[in-house]
Amino acid sequence: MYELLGGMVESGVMRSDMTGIDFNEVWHPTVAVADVVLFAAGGTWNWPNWALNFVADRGGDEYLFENIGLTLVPAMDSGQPITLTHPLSYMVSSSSDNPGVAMALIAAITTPEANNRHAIDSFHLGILNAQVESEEYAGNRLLSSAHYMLDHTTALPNHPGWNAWSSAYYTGIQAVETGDATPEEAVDIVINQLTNELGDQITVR
Amino acid sequence: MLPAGILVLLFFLIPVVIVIYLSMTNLASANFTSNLSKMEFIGLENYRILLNDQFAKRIFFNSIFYVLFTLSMFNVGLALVVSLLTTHIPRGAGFFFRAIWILPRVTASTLYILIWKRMIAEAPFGIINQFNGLLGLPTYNYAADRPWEFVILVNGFIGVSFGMIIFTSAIESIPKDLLNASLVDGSSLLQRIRYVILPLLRWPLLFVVTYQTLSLLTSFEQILLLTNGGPGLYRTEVWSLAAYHRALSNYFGNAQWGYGSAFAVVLVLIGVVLAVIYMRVFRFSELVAEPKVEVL
Repeated sequence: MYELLGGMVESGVMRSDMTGIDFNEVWHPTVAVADVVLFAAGGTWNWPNWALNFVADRGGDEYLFENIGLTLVPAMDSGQPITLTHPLSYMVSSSSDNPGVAMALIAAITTPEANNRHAIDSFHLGILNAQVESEEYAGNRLLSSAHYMLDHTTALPNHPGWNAWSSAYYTGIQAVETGDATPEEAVDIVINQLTNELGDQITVR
Repeated sequence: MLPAGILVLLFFLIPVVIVIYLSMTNLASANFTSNLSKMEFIGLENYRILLNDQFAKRIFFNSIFYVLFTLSMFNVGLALVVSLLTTHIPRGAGFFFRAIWILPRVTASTLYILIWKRMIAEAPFGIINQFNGLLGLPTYNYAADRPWEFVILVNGFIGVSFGMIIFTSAIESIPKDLLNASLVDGSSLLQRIRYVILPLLRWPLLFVVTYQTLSLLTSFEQILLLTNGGPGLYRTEVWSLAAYHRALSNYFGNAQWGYGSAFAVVLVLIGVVLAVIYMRVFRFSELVAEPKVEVL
């Protein structure tokens, strides 16, 4: 992965400050309103943001339906279509005084109606079967056109050490893209950080 | 004495003790509790991790660099220059220029940084780059190419006002007799500044240097909003920002309050050590012993 990113910067395909780009000041205004864009890697949630904030004067949703198509990306090794999701799990802290109440609260908000509201307003794909089967979800043009993507998705892991892992991984990305480190050095940086912070919980192969 | 003691206890000592205790626990989102007795005590483990962190040294020296340059160039240096200049021009004009220098301080920091971000954004979005384009100059991606210059500039513009107010009031309270006496002796303006004004500014200078050092050490919101510690590998990450990132702003709220507190405790130690050093170097006890200038 680091080799790929480093190579992309070196060959000029990717900017060296890619992760530092200001999304609202630069990335969205560039990609959403440019006259010609071949591919832009983004999330489904970019759509309502663009419709509301960047292309509202060109017709919002209608403009996007006319000009933009969604697609999966081919995986580097297999060429199979792939995408990425991070379904966050709500966890009740082990030190919670009222785990029952916390559980009841989570159950109360995990309804098809609440998740549909979120899905339709922000274009996030459904997470509940009952939600996906609902008329509201199935009848939504955008959601129903993109829902098949969940068949090809891969999920980021959920773990109490996730934070240390993701920030180390991200540090590696920033190191190679800015040229502060070679891909090999970036891997060493990540291993160093993970073993320092997670200790025995991590196995380096 | 008692009200002051209670204030120090409530707002300094107790928070410090709590943060020290937190820094010895592994409190994070996954095992959150507000009950101090239920937190998992892990001794100095967070400090061991911190000392072994490969970027701790860089973040430490970033902070020193940031404080040193912002303090000397703006919070003290430019503040002194602005005070001297605005006290040697007509009073109304002096007020006007000082009022302008207070603007960055009184502007909400999010708004202030938004203005800066729009100023320095890359072409075609940034205002500076639009001017560069009009003048036929090359355009730059300032945030990526010159992060430190702008971090110091942005914070320095805010920092000038504090020193400026203190120095101005100190200069204006110098008895006119002293300045008149030096005028009679045939002193030039520079000589008056060097031999009359500056020696009498020693106490305000100590105060501003000490206070602003500590203030810069702990301030991070402008850096957070401007560069967020980047680009690349912690290029503009300062110690207080690192504490914030660990304790409060991790990916999807996965906060590590225990580890972040260890960063904060180290910052408290640095601040206390620096304050003691300043007081020794500036001979604080002599300065508060008796006023150098008696105004009757």
